[in-house]
Amino acid sequence: VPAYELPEPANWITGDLISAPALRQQVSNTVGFLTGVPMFVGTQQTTSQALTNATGTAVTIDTEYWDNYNGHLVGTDGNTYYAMVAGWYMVESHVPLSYSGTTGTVSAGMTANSNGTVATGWGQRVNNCAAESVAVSVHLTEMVNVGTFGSGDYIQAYAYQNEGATQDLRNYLTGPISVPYLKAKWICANTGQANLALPTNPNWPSPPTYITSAFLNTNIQQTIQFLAYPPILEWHYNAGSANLASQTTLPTGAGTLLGFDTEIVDNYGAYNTGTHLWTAPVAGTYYCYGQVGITTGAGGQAMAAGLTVTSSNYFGGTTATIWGGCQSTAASTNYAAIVRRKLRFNAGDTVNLAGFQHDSGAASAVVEGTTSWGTRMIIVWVSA
Amino acid sequence: MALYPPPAVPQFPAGYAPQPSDMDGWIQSTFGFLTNNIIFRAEQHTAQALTAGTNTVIQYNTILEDPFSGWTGAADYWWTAPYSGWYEITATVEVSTSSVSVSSMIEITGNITYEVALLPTPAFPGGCSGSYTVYLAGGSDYVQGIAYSSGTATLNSTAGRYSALEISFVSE
Repeated sequence: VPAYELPEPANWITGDLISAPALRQQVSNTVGFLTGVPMFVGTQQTTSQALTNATGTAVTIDTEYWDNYNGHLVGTDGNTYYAMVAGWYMVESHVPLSYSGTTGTVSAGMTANSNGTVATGWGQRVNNCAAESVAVSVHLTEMVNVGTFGSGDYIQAYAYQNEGATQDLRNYLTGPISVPYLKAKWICANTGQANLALPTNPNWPSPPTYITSAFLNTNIQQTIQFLAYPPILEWHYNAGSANLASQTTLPTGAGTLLGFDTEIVDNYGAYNTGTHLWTAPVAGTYYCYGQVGITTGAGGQAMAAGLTVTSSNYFGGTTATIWGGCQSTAASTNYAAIVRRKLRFNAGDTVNLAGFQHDSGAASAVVEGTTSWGTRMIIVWVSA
Repeated sequence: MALYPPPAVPQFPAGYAPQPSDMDGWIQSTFGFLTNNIIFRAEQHTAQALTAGTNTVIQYNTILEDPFSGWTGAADYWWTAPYSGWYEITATVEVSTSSVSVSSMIEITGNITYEVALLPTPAFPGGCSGSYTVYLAGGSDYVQGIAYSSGTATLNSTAGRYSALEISFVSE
């Protein structure tokens, strides 16, 4: 287990000695922790787990690829990653179903115990197909009660299928590897200093210029604060009362805007509940995930999730939508479509979630909230 | 933008009078790396053909970000990791063909392929996106994006519907 912990960023005062122990405590700890953040990467590939029809099931992870803080064991609680360090984690998973028929759907999700509250959130839900569908999921979750294997806050990959009978997860190791997958990665401290500028990391002063407390506070204290607590966001739409009109074609401009009403985390206060826009607080490349959950009408045939961006980096500065690609839908079913991209933004650029659905009878679909397959958006700063 | 390699943890020896260049190495370059991560982003803007039932290497023709110059174009179409470490790879496949099943895959160094998403498309331009985090050896391991379609198809060449490969460094 790595020996480094994020320090409490020190405030440097004129007259302070810049000692080796102080620099180790501040800089070495930060660099050691952030270059090897708590992360788990694992798969299920020695057994094909059976999924009971229409029942959410924790996915057993029987093969570890990376677990630098020992939060998981193969065998005991093999479906669970116990957080060893407090913070916000990004959880990615995907589940392939070993079923080549076209009945029913498959979905990926996450169950987390976050500060004593256990909840399951579902990601993409797609129709089964002859090529054997693979559904994906992304979530942010806050780990608070940490540090003990077997108790406290935890993360599990979840899988669901409703073909009508029990079906197995797929464990293909020849040809393309197609196995259930879970990654949990620390991305941000639970608390910190928000709304800081991007660190500039200048050269250190050379004589006769001398090091000032202001230089140290800008280039050590605030840099640690920014890197330990970068902009992250997850908002949900919980009301579940909106309608998404049927459209005959996927728009080439801006798609239909979908808003959120419930903040999960937004440490830079970057989402506006009036305009339903997220505004980039600092420049950089961001991990962006959008999910549209709808219940289709009687003629439901297609749906897609998109990210509508206003940025000089895309579409010549015109507001337009980056789509996640359409997926097929059937009648009167709660589906979720996703879009996932890493996108570069300038400070002040905006993003909102967009939705598309087509119904053969032109009926609207219900935008889902707290039902199983809901509507949400995640944005995480990755790099300047 | 200055580029820095993944750093060793600085030790700050006691009893040593550091020069400004020492402080640059211990602080500027380490925090510089953590601020300016290794990133690669590419899109395919051309209507590349996909043969039914065949895994096809996506020939990304628009490199959006590659500050560490890891990209090799025709005829390889791969990104080589500049330094060893764990990398988060996201691959998106978008087709302009309807009513096929589409899969997004990531191939590592030409011999390990991970399927990260697969779904059936409707009578509209479809697609899927998935992610995998893998360890790459710096200077030797490389990444390609792979598309699969159950029927003859073409990758989407409409803005906002491009296939994409995105990679970021996550851990030493």
